[in-house]
Amino acid sequence: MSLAPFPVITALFMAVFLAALEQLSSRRRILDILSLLTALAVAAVDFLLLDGSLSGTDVYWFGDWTPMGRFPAGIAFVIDPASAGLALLSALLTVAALLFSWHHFHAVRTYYHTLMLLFLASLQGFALTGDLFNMFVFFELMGVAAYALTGYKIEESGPLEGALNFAVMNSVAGFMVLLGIALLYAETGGLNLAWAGAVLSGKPPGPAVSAAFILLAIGFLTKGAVLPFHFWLPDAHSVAPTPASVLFSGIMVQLGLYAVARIYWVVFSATLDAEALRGIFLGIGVATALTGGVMACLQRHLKRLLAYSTVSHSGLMLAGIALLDPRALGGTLLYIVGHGCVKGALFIATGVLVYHHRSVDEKHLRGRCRRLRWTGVLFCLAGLALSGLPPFGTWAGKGIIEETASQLGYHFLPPLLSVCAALSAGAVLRAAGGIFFGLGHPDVITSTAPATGEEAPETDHSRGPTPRIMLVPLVLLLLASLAVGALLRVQQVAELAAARFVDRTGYHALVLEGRRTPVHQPAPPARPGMAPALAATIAALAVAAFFLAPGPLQGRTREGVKALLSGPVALLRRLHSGYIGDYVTWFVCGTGILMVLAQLCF
Amino acid sequence: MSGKLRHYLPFLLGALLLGATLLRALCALPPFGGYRGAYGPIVLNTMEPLRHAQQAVAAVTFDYRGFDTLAEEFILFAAVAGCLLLLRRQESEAAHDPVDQAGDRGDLEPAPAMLGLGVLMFPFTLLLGIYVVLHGHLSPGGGFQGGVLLATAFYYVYLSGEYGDLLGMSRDHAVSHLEATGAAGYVLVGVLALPAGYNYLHNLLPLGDKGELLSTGMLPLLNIAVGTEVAAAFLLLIAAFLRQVLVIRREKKP
Repeated sequence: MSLAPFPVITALFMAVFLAALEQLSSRRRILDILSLLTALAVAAVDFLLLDGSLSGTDVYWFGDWTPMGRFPAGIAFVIDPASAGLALLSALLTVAALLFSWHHFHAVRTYYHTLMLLFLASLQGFALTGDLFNMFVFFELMGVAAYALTGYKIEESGPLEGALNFAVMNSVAGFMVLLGIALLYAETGGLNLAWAGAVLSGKPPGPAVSAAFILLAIGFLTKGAVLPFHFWLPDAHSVAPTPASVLFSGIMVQLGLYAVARIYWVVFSATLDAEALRGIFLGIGVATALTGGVMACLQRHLKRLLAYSTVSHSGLMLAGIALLDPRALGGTLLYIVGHGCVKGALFIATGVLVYHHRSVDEKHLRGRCRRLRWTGVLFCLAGLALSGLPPFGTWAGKGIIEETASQLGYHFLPPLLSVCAALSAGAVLRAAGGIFFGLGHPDVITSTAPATGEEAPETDHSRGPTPRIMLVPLVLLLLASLAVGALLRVQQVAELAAARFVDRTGYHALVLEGRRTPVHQPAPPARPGMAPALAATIAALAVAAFFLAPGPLQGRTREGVKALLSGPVALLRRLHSGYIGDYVTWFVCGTGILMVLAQLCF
Repeated sequence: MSGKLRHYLPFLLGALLLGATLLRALCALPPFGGYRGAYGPIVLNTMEPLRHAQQAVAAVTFDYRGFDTLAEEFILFAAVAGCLLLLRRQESEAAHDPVDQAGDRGDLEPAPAMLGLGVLMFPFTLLLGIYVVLHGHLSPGGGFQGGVLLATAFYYVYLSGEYGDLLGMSRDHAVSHLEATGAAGYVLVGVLALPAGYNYLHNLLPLGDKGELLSTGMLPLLNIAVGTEVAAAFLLLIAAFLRQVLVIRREKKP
């Protein structure tokens, strides 16, 4: 019996089961235990799936509707190392999030646990499926659960506005995906990715095909928070409860990018002009990484800072995918895992601060958390890991992407990506220096408005030391990220996953005919260099020092620097206005421009 | 006026580009009526011999692509859970039973026409809903549509009566248990095939004769599961919205 359907159906069934425990008195502990056990079980199944997929990709046809004369009428899960690995990451992050919320989190009736498990099920299905429409359905399920989780704290206006912005932007993105599916279906007559790819193979790209790709890409890139579709992310991630933010920033955004990569390689890679696509996606990726990094430096709301850091890293990952190279893709997969663990750890550390001080305002917290030594050390470590400190997973992933970029002739890319990583990591380190060590000047060039929206406590009993159960997931996530970078085996798996990912004809033959083609074994992995990564970490420390240490921002030149920066800063701030109408305007402009580019270039 | 126009200019330009390119893409599609896909013929040729089904839409929705429908059912489940979460009573709010603010008015009776219509429509709509759910695999309709009809029947109770009447008929626990049962039912029907060594959602049940009420294997069961879930979900929704409007009051500061 194949294990393939179990990640999704276990999580779905348990979500319903927990909802039915409504009337149980003293249900809190039971809900915690059952949801944690479910997430652990899903993680175990994912691990087995990943292990099995290393020797050969597994295709699972629901209802035994195997292709009839090559045509797939049913829905298939295609379990290759990439999809199983991302599913495993999402399950592990869910475990971490549920550990954090253990006992102390304000769970409203059964809704929190139910929605978390529904969200887990959607992440699993989205990662594992090999069917375009099935992907859309799980995209929607993911969205609906995520909107509700974002608006969890209804006592505040921030969460409701964030959830509304999130819902509107992602629904618009959903329309784009649906439009793209319709166009592709009209062209190919099938919804299975492999079928669509096989039909398109070797055909010249007409206007409909290129439009279908761009619409699908825009839809999923909105989930992936890429410029100019990223505006919803800081609004939503900064106000969602901590456990939800862990999942949003750790895996949901990255799954959007994964979907674009999957659709490109399986369906469109033999049709579209790779050079043009590389140019477009590299441009968007770098712009996103830079904007996110700069915006992260300008925040004083800690979760918002982390959210912009996610935007920045999402751009970095898109740049890794945009190289359209198996090795760079392997690096990107490694980076997604390494970054997901680190970002999850940072959100959990922020959750610990909220637990103690009911605040996420960098200025308000400045110097108040000296006694939280362990949290402080772990927070700093996570900040360093975010910049790509060896041997964290972020180092290995970013190093591979950068080295491949150099080999492909994009020599400008490695320094640029390092600068972007250093910017947001520097912002995190600056915040850590101020909060845990009281360093720096209280009036940095960040936002003047105090960070609100966290007064409503997520948790109770905030006196006394940090409960151990909150620090456990924090440590575990950092260890996981360390293992991802330090173990050669993980890099091997990532490169194998990438080799399988780009093997278009092998994928088609396996899904449509059940024929296994010998897998091309990638060359034994070469470890990325340490020196560039250390340079990026030093740059991050320099960014933090720029804000904290005596220097241009502390002495008499302070006002001058502020005046110098005020123009661009004001412009960036005005762009990120928080008005949903503005966001839709940028979305439509971006879509229009990309559509025109696609019609001209492909 | 020109200021306003300038305000909308980026949107208009973007929409223009998007519209023009989309139009170009749509014009490049195969002409209307020129269907050449493989899906239609394959489903039409196989659904009768393999599943004894006479309705292609139901066969595709609940059998060929039954896994999509499972996730769609859970989208509704998640949406309702989300609505109930967001519409909950805040700590700063209080719940009061709805009372007539003008105490000297005496009891208000609903108009006889409304009452009569409600009494007439309630059983009729209920019956229609049950019919549509049960015949989902034979005729247009099915669990989603029939479920909405079933919930509509209870809306008539509110329209022709009082909030309390609806409340009596839709106790929150009972309905939410019903909703959970419907959602879980779909998952479990799919699991039936696993011990026999088939894949998830394999249609294992006896197929019956084409056109009969008990035919096409698991399709009627899945329709009933979906119908139950949808009907309960919409009842929970209307109850939550009405509670928000009628019962929950912002607590006055003393």
